[in-house]
Formats: sequence, C-alpha cells, structure tokens
Amino acid sequence: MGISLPAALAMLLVLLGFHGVLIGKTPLRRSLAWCLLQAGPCVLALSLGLKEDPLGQALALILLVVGGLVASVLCFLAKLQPTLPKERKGRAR
Amino acid sequence: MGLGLLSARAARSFGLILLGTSLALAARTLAHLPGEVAWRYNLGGWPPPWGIEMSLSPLLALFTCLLLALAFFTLFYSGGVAAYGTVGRWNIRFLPAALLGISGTLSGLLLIRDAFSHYLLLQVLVLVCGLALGLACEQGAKVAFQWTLMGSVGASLLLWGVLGLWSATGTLHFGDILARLFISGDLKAALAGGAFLTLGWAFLLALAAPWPGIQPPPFLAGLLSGGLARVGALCLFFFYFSALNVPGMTHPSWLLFLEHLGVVLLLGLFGWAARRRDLMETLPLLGLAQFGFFFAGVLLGNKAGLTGALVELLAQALGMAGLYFAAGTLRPNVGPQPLSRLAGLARRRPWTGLALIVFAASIAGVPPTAGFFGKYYLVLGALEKGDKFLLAVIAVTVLFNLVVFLRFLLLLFEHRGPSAPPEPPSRAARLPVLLLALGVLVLGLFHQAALNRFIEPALPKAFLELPSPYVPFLGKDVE
Repeated sequence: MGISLPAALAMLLVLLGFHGVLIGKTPLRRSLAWCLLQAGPCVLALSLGLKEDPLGQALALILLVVGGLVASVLCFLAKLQPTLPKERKGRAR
Repeated sequence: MGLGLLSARAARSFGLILLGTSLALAARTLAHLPGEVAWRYNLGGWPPPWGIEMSLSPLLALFTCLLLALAFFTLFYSGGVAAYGTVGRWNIRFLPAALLGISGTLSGLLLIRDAFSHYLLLQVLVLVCGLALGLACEQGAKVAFQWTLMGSVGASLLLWGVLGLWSATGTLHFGDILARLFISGDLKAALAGGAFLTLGWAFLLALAAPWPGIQPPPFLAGLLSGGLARVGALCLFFFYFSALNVPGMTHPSWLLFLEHLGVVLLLGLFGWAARRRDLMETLPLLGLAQFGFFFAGVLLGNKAGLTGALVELLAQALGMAGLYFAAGTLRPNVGPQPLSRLAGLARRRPWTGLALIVFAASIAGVPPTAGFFGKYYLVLGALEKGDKFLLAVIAVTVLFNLVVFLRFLLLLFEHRGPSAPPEPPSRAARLPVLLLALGVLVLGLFHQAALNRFIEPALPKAFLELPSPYVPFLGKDVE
C-alpha cells in the first residue's frame, strides 16, 4: 500500500511543525510552527473531502475555522511576551 | 462573562448556582440510571457518522458528578481564601466563566462517542484552561501561552490519529470504527491510530498533572489534576476499548517493550517525588506517577486489571484534588511550601492532618482506602495474566510508597513545630478537603457496591455477562 501525495505532504507539514514548536526561538515563531502542524491534518481532510465526500469537506472547513481561531489566540498571547525564558539561552550555549 | 463585567460577586454567585444546579441534576440522573446498560442519545436524531452519539453509563455519570463537585469546590474555595497572589481582582471576575467552560467541555468529552467531536471539545478545553490559568496565575500570559501551545500540539496529534482512523474506516463513531476495523482486519490502522491518540492525550495529561513548570494556585491545580487529568485518562480508556480493541489484535514485541518501559518510567517518578523537599514540587510528580498504575491496568487488559485501573482512576481523582486543596489550606498563594512546615500538623490541626493521612494512604495503598483496592485488583490482574514483570514493578512501587507513607506519618505527628507555622485555614477551605477524604474512605469501605454499580458496566463488553450472542455493529446492538 503506497502513501498518496496529500498524505505525504500532510506528514511533512506535521513533522516540520512539531520540530518548529520544539525549537522555535521566539513565542511567535513557535505559534507559526503550530500553524504548520495543524495544516497537516487540514490537508489530509481536504484531500479526502475533494473525493466528493461531503463529510470530508465539512471536516476540512471546521478544521480551518478552529485552526484560525487557535492560531489567532496563540499569536495574541505570543505578542504579550516577546522574550523567551532564560534557560533556553543557557541550553543553546 | 457578562456578569463578570458588572461585579465579581455576582459572577461568582451565578457560577456557584449554575454548577450547583448541574451537580444536583447529574446526581439525580445518576440515581435513576439503570445499572446494566448505558443511556444513548443521538444529537439531532441523526444516526452516525453525521449524527453525534452521546452515551451515559453509571461510571460516566459518577465522574460527571465528581467533576462538577470539584469545579464547585474550586469556585467556592477561590472566594474563601486569598488565592490570587498578586493577580488583580479584575481577573477574578472572569474566573467563574472559565471554570464553567472547563466543567462543561470535560462533561462533553466524557459523554461524546464521536472521534471528531472529541477533538473539537479537546481543543476548546485547551483554550478555556489557558484562559483560566492566564487569569489565576501570577505570570498569566506566559503560563497561558505555554499551556495553549503545548495543549494544541497534543490536540493536533490526536486529530492526526482521528483522521487516520477515518481514512481507514470511513466513520468517526467509536462503535463503527471498531466494527469496520474488525471487518477489514486492518490492525495496523488501529495500532497507528492508538499511538497518535495516546501521544495526543499524553501532552494533555502531563500538562494537567500539572506540569511542574506551570504552577497554578493550589485550588485550580486540584481541578486540573483531580478533574481534567483523570477524566482525560478515562476518555483514553474508552477510546482504547470501545474503538480500537479489535478482537484478535496482538501488539508486536517492540511495542510491548515500549509500553512496559512507559509504565516503569511513570512509576519511577514516585522515587523522584519522594526526594523533593517542597510539597508543591512533590504533588505534580505524584499526579504524573499515579498514571503508571492506570496504564499498568490497561496493559494487563484482563477483567481484574481493567477493574483496578478504573478504581485507581476514581481514587486518584479524589486523592489528588484533596491533596491540592489541603495544600491550599496551608498556603493559598503560589509559592514554595517546604515539607518541614507540615511537622506536627496532625497535632495542631487534627482534621486537616487526618485528611492528609487518608489521601497519602490511598496513594500508598493502605486499607481500607480506595487506592488499596485499586492496587489489589492490579496485582490480581498481573497474577491472572502471569505477567511477572508488571507484578514485580507494582509490588516494588507499593512497598516503596508504604515506606514513604510511614515517614510522612511520622512527620505529621512530630513533636517539634515548624519555624513558621502555616496560617489557620478558612472554613470555606476546610470543607472540600474533608468531603474528599470522606469520599476516599467511602469508596474503599463500600468498594464491592461501587464495583457492581459503576465499574463493571463500564468494562469492555467481552467482560460483561451479557446474553449471547451480543455483537455491537455499526452503532446498533444487534442479536
């Protein structure tokens, strides 16, 4: 059983996003990395929905709305605290 | 929220009335629920996969009652003590709305039997908890950001598992997923889905333990650790056994090794917790370590093991909430609470001391507390299955915890007093602690009744004495 192109793209997005959330240097970058992470399932749902599956289309739409809401909350919270905790700088050394 | 703009007192009173009414209704429902089968309800009357099924069994109703009671205590508690530290009074106005949101979404998570709705409620829960932590913690924005980010990562991983199962089965209903996985024999999809669901919930369970870096005020930590974390574990239990427990599925040896390693690592946290010298550093580790018993029961997978896992969850919910609430009576604000301050506490404050002893005894597994019976069934399960490794791990952990419990008992009854004795607790703070301690004792003393009424009907159908043949198929119970 092979992996389809949308599934491979979704996996890549999830891996990139997860990596970015863990190593992001500022809260804003971490928030944007989460958007990448969330984009993976959205791509997967959309690709399933495009095969004339109305449930898939509905799920993709809901995911886009929820993802947008959470991303805006994260970016708002990230803007409130521009610097990272000190221990991360220590770890980088 | 609207009342919060007008007055803090009005918002708190309204929140207490709403939570109290919900608790009374849930308790009434619990009293009227039949023991053998769950009540089922399809939202909008549509059948799955478009319709969303809700299912209410006696155990879920009991957990809903417990959850609402914890949220009620938390709100009640937040008015009785100066629990807010340096946080401004403006924040107190919106905390009731956040607590209502937490209890509402958690109740929904318990009842819903639709995987995608499960994800949606989880994501809403992460946002609402972030709001509550942002309002109640001293470094609110930082804590809220950390919680929302990592919680959303967990929710996204869970979503990945849900979508994977959907693409493999074409349905989102728990029962249908199980039936279609069984028909197609696609065990790899079940394993992969289970792995992502476990990873996703693991983030939430670790955060809600609560994660040592988060440090919410004790009253809120009690709701997170006793309510959110244990309800999350129960949701995971229902995911495993009502959606993914495909008959004939065997775990590969490398996965079994990883699962056993996870249980050992979790139980090993008891050792780390015992080395801490501060109560607020010990409690989060205890909250995490106790998941080891739950996962050990799930890993055993037989009737005694699963019974032990569920009894443990109930005992942990009462015990962890009680311990955090008791810590709140010693020092309501965020900050260090050295264990040396507990020296001689049972002599100065016998009721608080007695409650602490009951909670610690339940964690250690001393009869007749609920925790003892949870561990007893786990040991029974390990003996029945012949899993000597898990049996040894559980036995060593229980023995170690007994030694730590005895040292804790000596500390509570020490003659020397602490250099800085804790302030006397308010009446509002004492009541929930004593009620929770009573709950731990009652659950232990009447454990057989609790098993018959709540635990056994919640076990997977293979362990129920149902008239045969009984084959749940595509959301319907057919004969």
